Amino acid sequence: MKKAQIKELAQSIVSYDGITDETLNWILSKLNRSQLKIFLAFLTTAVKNKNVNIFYAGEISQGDKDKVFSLFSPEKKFVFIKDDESVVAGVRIEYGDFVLDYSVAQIVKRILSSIRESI
Amino acid sequence: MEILHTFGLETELFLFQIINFLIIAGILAKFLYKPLKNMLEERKRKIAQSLVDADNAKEILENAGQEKKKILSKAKKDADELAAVIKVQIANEKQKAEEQAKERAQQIINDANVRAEVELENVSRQAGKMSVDLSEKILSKVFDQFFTPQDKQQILSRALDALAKGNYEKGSN
Repeated sequence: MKKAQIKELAQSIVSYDGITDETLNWILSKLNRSQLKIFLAFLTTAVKNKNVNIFYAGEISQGDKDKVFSLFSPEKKFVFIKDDESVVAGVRIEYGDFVLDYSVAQIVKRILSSIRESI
Repeated sequence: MEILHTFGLETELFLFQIINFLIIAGILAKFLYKPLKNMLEERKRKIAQSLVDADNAKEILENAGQEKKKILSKAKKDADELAAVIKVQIANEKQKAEEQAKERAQQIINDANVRAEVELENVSRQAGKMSVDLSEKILSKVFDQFFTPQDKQQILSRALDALAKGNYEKGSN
């Protein structure tokens, strides 16, 4: 199986989202060791790109959730995670390899980081 | 003649005795006297040679003794000179070694001072960074209590509004 085909397979599995364990096991049994490695790498990337993780502090209203939905395409899978400690206040959104950080914790980290660098 | 006969001397016997004596004397002279004389002369010559050799040996011995004294005195002189040179060299080497040791000690002290300064600077820098890390950890624990739930709600809404307007910096994982 070619690399491009393995990539397409991984993306299809992630976008389908209804695949059973039995089917997945069957697919995995058809791949050899090196193909399996490539497949898992593409699968991880595809899952990362599909999912949008939203970290927030306090309580999030439906209106705020709608604001988040409006930022991305509808095919994405949205996961809301309450994390007061690492966010403090504000929001941090992770999707694919990108991070949108609009949190108080990030601002404080930046300040402390610049202090650390100046020492 | 009768007187000679009265004393028991017979002329013919005496004559034959004389002849006998002469014969014997001649034989002895030829076969005894000459070899004996040669042997004595040879012995005398040898004795004289031995005496001459002894005198020569004595002379040689005396010369050897003097030569030995000369060699010993020269060797002693050379040994004394060498000892003096070695003493001077040892003194010089000792002084050089002392100076080198002093220099080395000073260099070690200087290096240690420099290292101590660098170490102090590193420690100060590390202490500063550790205090910043500690501050970060403390802040992360207590910061949460600075904001009320209403504050968090407001900040969340404003953050999402800013994101919607495109007012953000995109970072990466």
